[in-house]
Amino acid sequence: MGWGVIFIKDLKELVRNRKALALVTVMPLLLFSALGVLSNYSLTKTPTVITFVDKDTGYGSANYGQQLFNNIEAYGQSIDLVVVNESSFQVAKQMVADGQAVMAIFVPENFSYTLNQTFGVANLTLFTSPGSTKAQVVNQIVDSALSDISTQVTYARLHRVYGANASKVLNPVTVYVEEYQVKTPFNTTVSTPYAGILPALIVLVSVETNVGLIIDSLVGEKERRTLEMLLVTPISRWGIIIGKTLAVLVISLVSAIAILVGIILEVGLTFSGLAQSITPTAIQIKPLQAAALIAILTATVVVTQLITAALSAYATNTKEANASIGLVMSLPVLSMYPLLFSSLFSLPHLVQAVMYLLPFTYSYLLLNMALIGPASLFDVVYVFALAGYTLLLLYITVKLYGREAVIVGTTRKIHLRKPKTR
Amino acid sequence: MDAVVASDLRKAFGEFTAVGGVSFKVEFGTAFALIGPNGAGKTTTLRMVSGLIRPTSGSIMVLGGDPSVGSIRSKMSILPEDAGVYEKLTVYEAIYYYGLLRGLSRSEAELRTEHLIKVLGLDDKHDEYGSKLSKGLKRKTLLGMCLVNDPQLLVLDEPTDGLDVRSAKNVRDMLGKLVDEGKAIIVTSHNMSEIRSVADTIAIMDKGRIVVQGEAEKLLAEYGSDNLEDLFLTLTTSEVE
Ligand SMILES: Nc1ncnc2c1ncn2[C@@H]1O[C@H](COP(=O)(O)OP(=O)(O)O)[C@@H](O)[C@H]1O
Ligand SMILES: [Mg+2]
Repeated sequence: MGWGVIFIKDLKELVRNRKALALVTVMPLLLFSALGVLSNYSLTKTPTVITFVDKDTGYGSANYGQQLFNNIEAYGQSIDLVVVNESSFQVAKQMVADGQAVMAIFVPENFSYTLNQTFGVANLTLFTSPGSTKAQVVNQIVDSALSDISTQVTYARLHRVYGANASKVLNPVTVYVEEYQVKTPFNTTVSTPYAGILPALIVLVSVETNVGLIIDSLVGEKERRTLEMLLVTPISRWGIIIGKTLAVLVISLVSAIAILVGIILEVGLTFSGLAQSITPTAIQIKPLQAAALIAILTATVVVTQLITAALSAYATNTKEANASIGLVMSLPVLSMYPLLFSSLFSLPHLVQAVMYLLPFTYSYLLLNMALIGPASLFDVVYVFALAGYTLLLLYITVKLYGREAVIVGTTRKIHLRKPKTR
Repeated sequence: MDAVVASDLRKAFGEFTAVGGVSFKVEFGTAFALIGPNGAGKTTTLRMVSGLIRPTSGSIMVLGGDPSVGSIRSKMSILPEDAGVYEKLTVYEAIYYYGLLRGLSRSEAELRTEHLIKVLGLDDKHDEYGSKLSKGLKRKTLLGMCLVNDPQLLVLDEPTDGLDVRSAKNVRDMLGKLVDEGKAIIVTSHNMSEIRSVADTIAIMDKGRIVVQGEAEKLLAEYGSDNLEDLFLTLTTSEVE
């Protein structure tokens, strides 16, 4: 089995190449956890602030103003909300106008008193600009905090007037929920602003870190002048390319795992802080999901390697290969770029059409499915698309390495002076 | 049967004819030397012999078949011009893997490798990485990689180029032994005096053509030792004109 020998030989060489190994493992780890630390840092630098003016004097043992404050603080914990007590509503409103706070809340003197009257309607004043996402999040928090109090007051009033069991008055129907899961195959809930860009980011990192390895493996043989001898062995070009690709793939698997660990580290650091919704959410990566992620990353890396391998057939040394490949590889990178900001389906039709021609788009779509969902029959098509690209690229690479120029192309560099044509 | 039969081999790169019709035969138990200045077309000829490139016209028969076929290739070895060793493989590993690549079983490859390491005097470099070897030791390792499959035909492109006098002599002695064992060898050099001691047949090549070809002894008798050197110089053109 020729490819097996090439595989073992190359794997040995790769494992002994400490610098390359460090690059493919440490880089993604660092990148993703740095991303996590960074976004966490920026969040603590600019906390979400609301100002709270509590004039409520209470009534009997009840102080609903104080209770509202406590409720808001409790609900706000998920986004590290800071609730600042102010004595003047004027000042509190000015802070919102200045952008120091997202919302100002005014609780009047008779708040608790009014709520204790059976038919009293208390006033609460919010000062906010409804446009921003932050304000919407804060609005929901205040809503929840307030509805707790409203429920409590309603129960008390119903009991006072009718001596009724409020829960039966308010909920005449009991609803039983039987959950039917139509989410991702992994049943995860992700609702953070980072979740959307994560798939594109993962594709970018795995592509960038693995290009160097295959260049070293193929063009390195040319540069160190070992390729010619290898090509004269009975091993076919298919055997050589497959063996080499598989060897690099093993290293890439390690890299994919590093990426995964990087993501988990990042998730741990930031996803709890960057909640778009009220409940703190984190991606809980389940074993099956992790396996799917690694499989998709691996396929992506193989495609990357094969594109690189095909291009490297034209290079005579690694420098040349890195230069030209860096240029061409930046195309898929550029194509992933719009996906960092917009979903594929909301891009203009022409751009979408171009994107569907690129293999990386399918990696993106599959990663999207694995991380966010939902899964659909299209994912099967994407898997086939990725597999098709792999085979096509393998074929092209083998054909390119079958050209005589792969061998004689190096000669011209050696004979600096070419004899005149006779 | 002859080990190699080349008839009217021609190779053109676009407009430029690198090899313009060369014919020769190499018998088993003999060494054939292709001698000529840089750019004469020696490497291109050897690449056609090893099946790496196809002749534009003419035909090549190696060990009774087409040199690009796997079964023929496992019985021959090529040491390409300026070949390098694997920097991250040890001397042992490099030779061993080339045994496997040419179809030896693991145990065969192990035995052959250990044997060759002894024969080549590489005992104390058994586990040394390629990157740590001197030029001479690298060439010995490469020879080991070529000999591991006990090839019937050995094709060597400038095997002594860049070696010091002692290492070069080592290589030549090695080749002499292999010829005595009945192997066929093709070797090139741009240095006449250096290679004629191992060659049974010599072909002087210039500008893609063989200008003189014959048995080394006959040529020597015909022209005399010193004159042979002169003959080479007058028959061939300098690389830098
Ligand atoms: N791929 C190529 N394209 C154009 N010319 C080439 C190519 N390969 C070799 N040559 C030319 O063919 C001639 C013979 O080269 P070569 O066989 O390497 O000579 P030698 O090995 O005798 O020094 C040289 O002039 C060289 O420049
Ligand atoms: Mg040459």
